Amino acid sequence: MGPCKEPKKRTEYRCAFLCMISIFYWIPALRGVFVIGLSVLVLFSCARIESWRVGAPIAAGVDSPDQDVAEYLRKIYESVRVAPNAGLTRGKLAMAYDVNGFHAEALITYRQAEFLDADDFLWPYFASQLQAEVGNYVKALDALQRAMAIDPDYAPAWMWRGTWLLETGQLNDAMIAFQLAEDLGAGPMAILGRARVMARQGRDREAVDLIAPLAQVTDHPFVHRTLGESLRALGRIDEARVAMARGKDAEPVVWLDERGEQRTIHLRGYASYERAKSLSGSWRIDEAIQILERLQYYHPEAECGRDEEFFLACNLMNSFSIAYDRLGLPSRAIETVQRGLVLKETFMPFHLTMANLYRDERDLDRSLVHIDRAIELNPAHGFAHEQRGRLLFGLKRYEDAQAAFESALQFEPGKRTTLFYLGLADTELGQWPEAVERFERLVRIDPDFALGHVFLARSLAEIGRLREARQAQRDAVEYGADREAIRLTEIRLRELEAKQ
Amino acid sequence: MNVFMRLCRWLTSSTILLLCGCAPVEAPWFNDEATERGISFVHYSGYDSRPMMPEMVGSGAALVDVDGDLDLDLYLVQSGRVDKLLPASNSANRLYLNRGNGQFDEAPEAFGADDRGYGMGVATGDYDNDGDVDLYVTNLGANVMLQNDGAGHFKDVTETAGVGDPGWSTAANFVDLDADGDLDLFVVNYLNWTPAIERDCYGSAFFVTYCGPTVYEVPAMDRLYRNNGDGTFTDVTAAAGIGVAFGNGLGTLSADFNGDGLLDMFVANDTLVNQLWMNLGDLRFAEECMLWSCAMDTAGIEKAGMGVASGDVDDDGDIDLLVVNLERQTDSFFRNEGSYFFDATRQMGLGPTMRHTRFGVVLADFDNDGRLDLYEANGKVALSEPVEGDGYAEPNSLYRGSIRDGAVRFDEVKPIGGTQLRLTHTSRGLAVGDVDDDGGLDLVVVNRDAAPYLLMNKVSRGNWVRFKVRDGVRDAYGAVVSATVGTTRMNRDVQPAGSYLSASDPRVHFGLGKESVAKGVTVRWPGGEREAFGDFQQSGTHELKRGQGVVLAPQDSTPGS
Repeated sequence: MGPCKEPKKRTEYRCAFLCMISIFYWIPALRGVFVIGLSVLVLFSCARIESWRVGAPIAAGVDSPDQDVAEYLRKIYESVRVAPNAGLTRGKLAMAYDVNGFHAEALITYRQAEFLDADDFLWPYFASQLQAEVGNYVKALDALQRAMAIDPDYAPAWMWRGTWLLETGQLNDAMIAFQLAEDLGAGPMAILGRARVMARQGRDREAVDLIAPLAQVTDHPFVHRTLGESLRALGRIDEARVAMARGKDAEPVVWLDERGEQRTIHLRGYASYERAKSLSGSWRIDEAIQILERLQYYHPEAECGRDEEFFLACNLMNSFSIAYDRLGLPSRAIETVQRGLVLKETFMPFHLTMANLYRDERDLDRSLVHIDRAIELNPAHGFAHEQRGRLLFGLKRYEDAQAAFESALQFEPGKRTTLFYLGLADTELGQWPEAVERFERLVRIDPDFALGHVFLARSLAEIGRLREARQAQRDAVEYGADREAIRLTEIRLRELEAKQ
Repeated sequence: MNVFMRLCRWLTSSTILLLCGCAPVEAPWFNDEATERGISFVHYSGYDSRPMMPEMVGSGAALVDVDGDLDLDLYLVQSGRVDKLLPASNSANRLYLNRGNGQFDEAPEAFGADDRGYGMGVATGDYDNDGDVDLYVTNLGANVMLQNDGAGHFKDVTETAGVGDPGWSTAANFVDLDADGDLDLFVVNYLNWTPAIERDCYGSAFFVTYCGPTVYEVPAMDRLYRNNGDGTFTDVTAAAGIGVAFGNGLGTLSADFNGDGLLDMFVANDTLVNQLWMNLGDLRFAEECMLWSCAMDTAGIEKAGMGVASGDVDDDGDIDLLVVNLERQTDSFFRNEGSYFFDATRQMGLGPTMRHTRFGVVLADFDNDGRLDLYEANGKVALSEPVEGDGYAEPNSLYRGSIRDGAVRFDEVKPIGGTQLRLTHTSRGLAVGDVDDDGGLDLVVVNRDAAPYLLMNKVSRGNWVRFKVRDGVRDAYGAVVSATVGTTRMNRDVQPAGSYLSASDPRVHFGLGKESVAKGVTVRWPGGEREAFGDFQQSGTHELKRGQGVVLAPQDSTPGS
């Protein structure tokens, strides 16, 4: 079903025309006429598509086994059928298809919404986002152009334009787009965009000049990585290593896009559970709980006690508990997990969450019981071993803590937090040479873990390697360590230096 | 009007059909001849309604001459069931011996190589330097080292060798990393997974499907075994500096990426940053993928790296990298700039690859026009809605390499996958080699829960020449052969590893196009030494043996060096 319904008469006229010009094909001398006629017909059809009336809405996903998705899509679809010429309703349907995975239907419906409401920025804007997500940058730029014709002053749109032009190698236009974005207040990411274009153009010196000040004020790994690549191109390898180390996390470039964020409001089903967790992690707890409550209507707590298909119901309970804890309701959080454990004692996340909750309540012994059970259920979970180590550290059982951290490293050998706590345990036991080895390993794996340099400095000083300690302290400053930590270490370094 | 309309429609239809018939149609590049050539293998993943992660991963294949009769035999890895041992018919790996013309006979009980572990992949290499190729099979569970007796019969020597990594291994690679003359072993591990931690995951429309690897939060560490030279290996993972990183490893290969004479290792990790282990000498390594800009894509996204291929695609003398990913993620073509990689995926025309989920991948000159082409074996890992039949099946893809406006590009070949009949399965492992020795490179594709494809090359149009590169009694893994073809200086390395869970023919193949001579053939051996071997006429396989060429000075500027 396409966006347009062709009147019957037009079909007949078109067919008759095609038939007539087909005759010319059979006459070799007049074959060119056939080609010209065919071209005209095709062009005419394309041109006419734009002005055809928008057809009926497309139905999709209404029979999904995900009841949350199916019921929601059904509801919006019915609202469109009731008001077929309302652009806003059609657009909502497109958004619902978009975010719930029905991409082809979403693109057609966005176009329908555009025809019905030519002044609404959102429909071509969202269509452009969707096109870009599936790699159709040319179509994405076309749709974005239509959106920007409606509102040329929306800075995030210029950021997208710059990004997609950069992706497609249109560097000069990308530079213009990022500059305009910056002029419209897009912020540091626009500067990053310009630097990326410069780097692609081989203007690495200019890129470094532009982005180095930005790298001083932001921790965004992409900024540091871009700086590192330009430094590398200029042959400044040592500086490049530092920058690359600070850019090692895989965090994509994002910028504030209030209109773009609306695109996900119609997310339903299991995918919305993932969104809820993300919202909860960003401390948007109320929004998260709203989603969790809606999902729990379809997956009530009792489902958690089943032998099969218990996963989502148990996870919802676990997520509720975490959300309550973040809201400052620890009792409610604990009660929720306790109910969960009655239903499914073998669900490992319950034990991890309960361990955290009891730890926050300073009941480390009870916390340890749950961590031990979590490990029993999944011995290969490095994080659980690390948590165990941290609990034992809190209980001042430093040797047991060391053993737990060593177990964690079996499964996640380079994990910075585990190595760091292992080093801390060494320092608590006065095992300074071992601590030096741990922290040296830590900063070798993760040079931008600034606290690692701080404690390396301390540990080196304790075994008399004062010159190396001073270098480590300088590295700590370079990698942006906490000032208080540096100050305390400095005090100790001076004490030890005075003794020598 | 009705009669007239009917006549019109007939005339129009005839015209259109005539036009379609007259339109040029590209001849197929390959034809699937597995059954006709004696391959009766069917892969079993063990899936029976509740998805278990390992079912989605395997398996691989090897094209390798196990019996020393100078043709390529075929070894196929079977999986079986995750939770129990099936009868040998559904769980044992299989060996097919080439009669010499591309027809195969099954070896009874794979001549001792019929390991019945839940198979993942296979690596090939003469680890004991006795002149025959041995096999290393990776499993969910203990891996297995199979020693060849010279006649293509195998013995399980895992315990003696000390290489039975008990984890979930996927890819493996024999490579002489310490340049001491014997092949060390690098094993890539995927997850610290057990059935006890399996969970339900859901697709976008709430269908139960396979989980992504990061859901389990149990990435695994890879292992490096140093060959002691006496049939045994020592686990040197920690000492080598490898034991500082972990990932969800699926693909690996080795090459000298920085041109210092030492072989480095690349690991493609699934949904985590890739790893590039730069060889510092004395079996010490530093992980530098971030510094080399191959850890993630230009947008800072850790893609789902599965298969990996390497080659000097742009003929500039260094080895480029290609990592293939999930649908809606482009491939990652990392163009080697000498001391770092540049993500040139779009410039190469590989944007459209994101339609499918890619696993096996090879860069090879199928049409012998002198440019590397690209074949990708595709198959989904998740379902978004229930379908009849194999919902994970996808057609494979073939791309022709060419030069346009002075730059290399890949363009998809139609019919899709290069075969007349559209072949659609859940493809995984992929190996390349000339099984009928006609100068056209053929392909073996392993399909999940189905028979494999044996895609015989029908398109080989240009001239060709091939080299068996030997260091002592074995293939010189990691050696780079250079030749001048027309005005282009080409480089091809001895690289049986790569792709996905598979091993390919280690012989080095050059397509010559219309040229009839490969001029100025030189070899850069692992360690950096270079030798010249002169010119070679088209057709046939020639041996280049270390010590039999003219030694070149390190910076020799002889034309064609």
